[in-house]
Amino acid sequence: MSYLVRWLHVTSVAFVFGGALLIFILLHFASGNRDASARRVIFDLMRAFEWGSWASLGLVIATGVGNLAHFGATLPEPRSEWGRELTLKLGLVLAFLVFSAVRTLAVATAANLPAASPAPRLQRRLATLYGVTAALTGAIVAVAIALAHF
Amino acid sequence: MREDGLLLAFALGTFHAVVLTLGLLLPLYLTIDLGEALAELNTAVGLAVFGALWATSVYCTRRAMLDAGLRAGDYAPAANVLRYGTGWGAWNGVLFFWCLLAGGAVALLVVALSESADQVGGVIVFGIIAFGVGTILSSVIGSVLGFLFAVLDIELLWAARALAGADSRE
Repeated sequence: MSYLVRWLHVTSVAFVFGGALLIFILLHFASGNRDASARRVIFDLMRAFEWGSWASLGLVIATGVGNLAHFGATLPEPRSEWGRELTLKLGLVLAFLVFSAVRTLAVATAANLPAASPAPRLQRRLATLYGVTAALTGAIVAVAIALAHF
Repeated sequence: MREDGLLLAFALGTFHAVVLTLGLLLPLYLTIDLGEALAELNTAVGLAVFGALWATSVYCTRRAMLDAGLRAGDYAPAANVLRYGTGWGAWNGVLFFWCLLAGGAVALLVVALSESADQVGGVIVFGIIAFGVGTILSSVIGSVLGFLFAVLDIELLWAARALAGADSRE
């Protein structure tokens, strides 16, 4: 059971990191593209990612609690170096959740704007949101690797 | 767009459930022996409890958004978001508590039936009292949390509209 919980945890984070990076790259290269059909495809992809990322984030939190429970009485104290790193990780995750909520709401708002809106500027902003999402996920993964191996 | 309304309800409902879980977990880790407390919790039971919170949060967020007239890309008056956020927050607390109570009651009844049929009456009386008191308490806690999340949601919506280039705060 603990293996399944850990597998779900890592797979969910991998989806968020990989998906955000992919959309960042797509938006970056499509920033000058004014083709309406290309814009629609990218918005469909972003919508699919948003559904998947929130499902993943729910699983990450549920399995994260399971991972902590696996430590039982051996869970290090918050004053230890490991404990400080865990506190940092949980704080980063909270900040990431707030950022993700703003990103999802921005995507849904942008998708409902009239097609005549300034697409390149909007695409640059959305690209930044997905780039920051990937960067924040990378930072959390770095702390998680430190927690798992050091 | 209906599809985006569902997406927003799923995103915000999940956001509320996970922030609440982390918001409880972090202070508990800093103040008590969380490892020992979590060790008492069966993994499957823990996942089921979180699943119940997740499901009720998404459902109540969806209903609050519909009542407040909040759709993707649209502006909804803050008073509406606060009013329906608080009301559906209370329902969220109650529904989540009923899920916990139903699970607990089934577990207690199974134990009572396997040990002594005389204990079944006691379990039922305890369940009725817990139902009454717990429903009132959970609705109060839920409404407070619903109000706080509604305030947060208003700020998140404002930030998102500004980022998307929609009109500014009305």
